[in-house]
Amino acid sequence: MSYRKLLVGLADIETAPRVMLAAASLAATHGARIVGVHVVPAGTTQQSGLPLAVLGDRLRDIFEDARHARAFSGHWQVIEDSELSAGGALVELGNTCDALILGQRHAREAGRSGWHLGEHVVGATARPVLLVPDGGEREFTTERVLVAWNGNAESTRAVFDALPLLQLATHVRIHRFNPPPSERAHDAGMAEDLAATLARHGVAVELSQSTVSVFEIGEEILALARDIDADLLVSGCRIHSRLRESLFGSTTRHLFEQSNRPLLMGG
Amino acid sequence: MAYQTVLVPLPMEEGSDALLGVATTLAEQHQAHLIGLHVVPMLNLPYQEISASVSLEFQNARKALAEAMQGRFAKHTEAGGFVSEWREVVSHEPSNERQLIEQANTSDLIVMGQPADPARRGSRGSTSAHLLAACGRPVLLVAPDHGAPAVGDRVFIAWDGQRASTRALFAALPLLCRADAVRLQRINAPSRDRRGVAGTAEMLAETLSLHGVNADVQHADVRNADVGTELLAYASDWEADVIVAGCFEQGGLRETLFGSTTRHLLCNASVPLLMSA
Repeated sequence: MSYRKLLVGLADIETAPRVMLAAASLAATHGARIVGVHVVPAGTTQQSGLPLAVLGDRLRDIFEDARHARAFSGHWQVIEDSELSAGGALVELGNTCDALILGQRHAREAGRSGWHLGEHVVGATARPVLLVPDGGEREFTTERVLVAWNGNAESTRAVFDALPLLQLATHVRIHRFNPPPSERAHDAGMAEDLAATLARHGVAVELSQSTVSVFEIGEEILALARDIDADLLVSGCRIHSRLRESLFGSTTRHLFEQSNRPLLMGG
Repeated sequence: MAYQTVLVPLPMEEGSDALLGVATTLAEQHQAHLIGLHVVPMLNLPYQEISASVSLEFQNARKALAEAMQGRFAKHTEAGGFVSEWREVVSHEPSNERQLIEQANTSDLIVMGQPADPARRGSRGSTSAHLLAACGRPVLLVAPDHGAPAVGDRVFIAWDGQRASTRALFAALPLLCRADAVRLQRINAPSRDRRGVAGTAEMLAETLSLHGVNADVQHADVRNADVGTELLAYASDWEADVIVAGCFEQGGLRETLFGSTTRHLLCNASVPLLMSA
């Protein structure tokens, strides 16, 4: 199975070209259409310090430049007629696609209620979200993939949402994070079962595991990503109830804020 | 794309023939690895009042049931052109659900039975409720009196644009790709107070067509209280043989309580339901 339609949200002129490079690369590999979107919540007159008309034109130009340079099929859309927030509109549009792509800076913008836009989108969407780092010299590729898995529903969804990527990767490592023995209730054999299921989809994986406290998992994932030189991180996303200050659990938040590699969060 | 690993939990004899009929038909169509799962509860009864003979009787009954289920699984799978695997797992906990959830999380699809009594379906605390809440994979629910083994010729999708039904829809792709006909029934609940993005059902249909699925889009404005009834009426008129729907739309704090629409579907649908939370 492949990704056939990708939604790319653009909002920031500086990072949009990088986001488009990643999107175009994915589109080429999977034969996907790209829908590029600029969301203008009702009532805004400027964004990123620019008058809307100027920003809108510049973002559209960035999208079209990428389209001509990389020859993907797709179209540009401006959403300005809804009563939804930027995050809400991205979720609605994203739910009609196979995956969403956002730049990290865009995702870290404060949205309603003080949450980041990315938290809102990742927390509400049914589809996986790829967060593209702002900078760095790495060319976007998804050859070497690190999947953080702990057997729960969220990380399970992330793995299966990422399947099209895993099928085309040259190297897939699934790392299982076990809670300390005192909290452990599950069967360690499940990672082997997951590997067998993925093998039936043509994905060969390498398994590893470690036992860490819940507060260390985020940093462990990033350290492991450095060790194995991962091109892409795949993680589930744990969401707290809306009463909390942060929508994300501590691991998810750590990855969201600290990852300097592309990060795919399950839908 | 196909369901390559299908899990069929087999806890009891009632309904298992209907269940295995559907599971093996799907396994054949998708060339899947079919896993029959039976969890044997091994209660360590600490009470000294329980005599050894009662305890032994209990254990023997459990053993006999496991053998019976294995026999049924073998009977249904022996002629199949797909790989089948029997798995018996011992549980030392009061509930068998943890093993079921763990196995479910490493499968592509779970095909599971529903209680015979419709009133018991979707009750708070039911196994299917716990499974749907805790596992990240789609579940196909089959009633014990379900007669037709073929599922997926005419697939009816109930879509309200929200997370659960969207997850269910994309999880149903392997089914959609093989269907003769697919209906995407967009439910627009008029109680919704905010105007959203227009045309999302059509955008979704376009994505499906890029996956090779030709879906016929229909819109319906339904009053909240009647969503379940209306959906089943549409599905029945259209002669659906399976309904794809999200569950737990009323979610939030009540994690294992189905919303009223979901309950209505569970209790009244005359065809299998493919669901995801």
